Amino acid sequence: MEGLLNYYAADSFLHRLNPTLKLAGLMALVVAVTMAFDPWTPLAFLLLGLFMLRVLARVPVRQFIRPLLLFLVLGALGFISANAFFYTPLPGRPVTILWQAGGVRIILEGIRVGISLTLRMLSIVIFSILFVATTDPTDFVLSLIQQARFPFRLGYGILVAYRFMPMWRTELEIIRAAHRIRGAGERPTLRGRWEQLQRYAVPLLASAIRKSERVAIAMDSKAFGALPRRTYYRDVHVRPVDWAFLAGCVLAAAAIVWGMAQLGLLEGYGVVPEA
Amino acid sequence: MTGERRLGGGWAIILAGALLGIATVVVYWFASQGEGAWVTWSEINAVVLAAMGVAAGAAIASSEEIKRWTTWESILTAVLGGVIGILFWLWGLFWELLEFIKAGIPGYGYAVRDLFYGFWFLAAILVPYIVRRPGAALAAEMVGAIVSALLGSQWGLTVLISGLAQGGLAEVVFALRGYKHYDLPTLIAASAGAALGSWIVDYAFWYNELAVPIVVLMLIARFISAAVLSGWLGKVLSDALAATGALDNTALGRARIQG
Amino acid sequence: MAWIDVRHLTVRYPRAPRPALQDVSFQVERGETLLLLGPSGSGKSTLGLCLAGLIPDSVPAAMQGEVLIAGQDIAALTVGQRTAQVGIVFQDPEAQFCMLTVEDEVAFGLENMALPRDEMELRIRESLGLVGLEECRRERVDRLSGGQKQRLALACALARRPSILFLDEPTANLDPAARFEFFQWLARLRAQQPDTTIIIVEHILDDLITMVDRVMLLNHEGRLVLSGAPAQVFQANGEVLDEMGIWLPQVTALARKLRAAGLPLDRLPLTVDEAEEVFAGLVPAGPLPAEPPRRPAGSTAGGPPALEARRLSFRYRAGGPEVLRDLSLAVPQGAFMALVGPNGAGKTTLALHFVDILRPPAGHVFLFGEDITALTTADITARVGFVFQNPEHQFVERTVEAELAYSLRVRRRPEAEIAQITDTLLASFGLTTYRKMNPFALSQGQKRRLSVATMLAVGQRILILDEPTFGQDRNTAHALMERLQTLHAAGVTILAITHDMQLVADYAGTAAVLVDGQVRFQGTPHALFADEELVAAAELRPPPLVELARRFGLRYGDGTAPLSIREWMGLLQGAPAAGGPAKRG
Repeated sequence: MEGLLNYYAADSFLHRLNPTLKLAGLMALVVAVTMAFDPWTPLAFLLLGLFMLRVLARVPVRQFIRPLLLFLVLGALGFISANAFFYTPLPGRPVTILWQAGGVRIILEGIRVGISLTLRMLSIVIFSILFVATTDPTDFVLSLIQQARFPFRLGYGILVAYRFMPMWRTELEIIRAAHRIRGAGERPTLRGRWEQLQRYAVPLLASAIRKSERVAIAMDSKAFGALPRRTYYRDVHVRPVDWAFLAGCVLAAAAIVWGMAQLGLLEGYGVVPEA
Repeated sequence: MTGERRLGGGWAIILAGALLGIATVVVYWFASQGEGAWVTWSEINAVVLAAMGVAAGAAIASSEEIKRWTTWESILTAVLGGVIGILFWLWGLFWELLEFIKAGIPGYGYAVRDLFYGFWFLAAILVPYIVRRPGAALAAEMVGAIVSALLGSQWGLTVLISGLAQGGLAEVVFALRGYKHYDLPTLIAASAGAALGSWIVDYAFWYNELAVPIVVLMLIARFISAAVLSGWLGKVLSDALAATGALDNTALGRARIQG
Repeated sequence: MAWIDVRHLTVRYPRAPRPALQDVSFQVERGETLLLLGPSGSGKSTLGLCLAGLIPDSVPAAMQGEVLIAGQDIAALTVGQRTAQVGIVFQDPEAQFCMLTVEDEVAFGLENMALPRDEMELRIRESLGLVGLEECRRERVDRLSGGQKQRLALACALARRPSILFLDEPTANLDPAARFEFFQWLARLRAQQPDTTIIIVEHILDDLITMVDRVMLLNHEGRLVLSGAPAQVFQANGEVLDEMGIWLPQVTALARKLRAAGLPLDRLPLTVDEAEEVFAGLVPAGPLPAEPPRRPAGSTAGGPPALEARRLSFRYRAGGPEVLRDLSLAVPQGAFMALVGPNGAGKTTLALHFVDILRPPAGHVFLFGEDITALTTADITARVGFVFQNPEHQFVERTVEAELAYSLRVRRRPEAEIAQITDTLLASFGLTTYRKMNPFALSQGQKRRLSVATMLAVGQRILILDEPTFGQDRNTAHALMERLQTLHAAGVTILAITHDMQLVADYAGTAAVLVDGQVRFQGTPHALFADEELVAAAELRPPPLVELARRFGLRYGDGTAPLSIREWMGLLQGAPAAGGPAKRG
């Protein structure tokens, strides 16, 4: 499905990595950035992510600019504006009012918090982009099965679901058109919306379930899981470089956090800077 | 699919959860002892770690259980988890608008916003209610989390950890009920388990600097929200689907026809 | 020793009122091609599931009796051994794959056999070659056409080297050109692998019958009633076939009618070639009438067209391909028009403009002469009913009754009136006994009837149908077409988008051909099928009787050929051809 993030088929260092270990490495980076609450640490991770995207993954800018911009706008709308208007300082801390009219005021500290949260979100998002853009979905699932002991039947179920996704989209459009012809107007009341949600959800899900049942029978007819062992046409390997990547990610995360602490910029991790 | 084996699956999940939960706390306790300890002891950290341990233990035992599922059960779980994952993703976009509630009501805005949180446990309730197999809550919630992460979520890959905790604790509730009862109280209890899991992960990652009353109120808000947006909604949606006949070959369909 | 030996097989699904198969016994030799016929619900698919050993492990059902393959009782085999013997191709091209690319999909079935990688490589290449998909090896499965998907399904089955192929309505969801192509590949395969036993379930037999060695017929109760060579089965037991609504090859059906009318035919032809010999002495020497018989027009005539598009152009997104190109088409009041053309020609796109789902610019689409952009949604839906290809997409309520009442309730009609209209519709569409049922739980045929009925509730005078006979068995398709015929006679204007040439030949008064977003032709079905160049451009497959007429050089005065069984009956019996649709079967 044309999601916000899409796989970008290419050959690069990150494309060649084992999906499971790549995921683990990127997870380490994400967790590290999540624990920081200042604006500078996420910025550092964001720059690291951009560097990886361009140099290690060779993903062209137009592939990832859309989701980044979307979350930037979302962050600006949500975090920055909300905090700018409604920031409540810790007791005893002064606030700087930039602009005031009647009861509405814009607070500098609020904007700072908003920017910090937005940067945090963007740096979290960029590692998802890194993963999704460089990982073939089939390889990802096969690697989960082969390396992470993920139950193989469920793994293949995910592939089936993934295959169905574009169909759901077209089907939803057809259902909406069909209901409009029935004279089912989209009513704005809460109750109307709830009923409408059910009207769309039930046919969509019922058809997804029926199709799943047929696929499951078709898979069983090819002896899926019937033998104690199965082989794989695509063998997903683990090489030393995959482990090296994981170690590199952990080291990079530690280095950034340590460096930020040295510079006195770090908040979070139990570190509260002097006021 | 004998009763004996179902019970076995339940015990394995409870046992693995309990063992890993206790083990985590014990390790944490030892690490916090003596001079120059690695970490400092706090009760709330102990609870967080214990819950993560329980969820991880449940996950390990569940993945063994899932290997015994039929193809149809696996595909159905993954497909429903996938659909709900798309809904999770959409809910995430809607969620950003709630930032105004959070920021607009000083302090308690967090709790008010969390009244909408319960939707994120839908997979962990709806799917086990239909499939009724050990591991279904965890598997579905994980698939939902994977799909929403792959589609592009503002919480990125951290939703995988949330999915694990939410699904894992819901799974434990179903296991404690022996995988035999799927009435509304059980579904609500399971959704409360998921709410607890979500709260623990969020506390550890995002909110450990907030005042305690706010954090407690957030947990209560999530319990309420989970009961409605997952427990009740999951049952209503499943029953509406079952009425179409599409679920006739599932545990829910069979249970309905037997009355 | 027979390769397949089925003894007293009875299968019952849980909660089903009666068994799906009852006491079925038969044998199939190695390399034989068997055609399985029967009305829907006669257990044909169930038989395949039994042979492949999927009952009861994957599909819960109680099974009695024995199934022996190569002398071994399959109950004694492991699941792996059982499924290795039988490869199945299912009906739905959208729901039998689990992988994303073609080669992964073929490999899937081989991985399950735990074959080494080299062996998989070899078999992937070989099996894709057998169905002509070598070029698509790395293609994504969802980019394939329906016909290619079914051939891929065949390749997946072949790669596992089964001794038996079970094809469960493999072409029911394909258009006629793709169906023809599928059977061509199957015939080639049969020549290359004479040892493979093929069992095929199919409704439309014209392109298939030459490769069939034997026909087996199951009845409504899941009992085996007939078995034998095709000509023999179709010959001796005509009444049984009629009763079950089995659809014969068109030339065979014609010959049976002739024989029933007392003409001495030494044998029943199955193909156009055979028909050419059998009918040789019967074809009239004199000239045919100047014109083909007219279909009865609808009761109304005159006035502005019911539907009209004037110079309509459309693309789905700016810069995308133009789907409709300066298209003009008028559907007169009381018409029964078939809209045909290749996939992607813009048929559905055009139809959606007639109901304002795709919004035309002002001055381009008219309903009874009124500009559609000046009408409200309520006005439009009160005049035009639109039946989607999949009836489920239209259902909005939880009972059949409420479904029918829905559009009346939306319009706030008085309850008494709603009840009265609902009852009338329930009765006239044969749904009264199901009034409290959930629409999704109905059978395929019932769902289709309900979706048509809901589209008439507010008294719509125009009915647009998208592929009304697609993927349905002949019995339900026929029943539906008869109903449309009745509506048409009562003055309803009908526009049917279709790939079903039988529908065009037997029911449509006029046909319009869309190619590349433009109307290439509008006229009678006779004139359409007479234009060979047009037929090829629109990727149509004319009914076999048209081909037969060409062989005999039979032409009306206006150059068109007789194309329905009714017309041919008239010609060959020497009586003047009567108008009206021919009954199928």
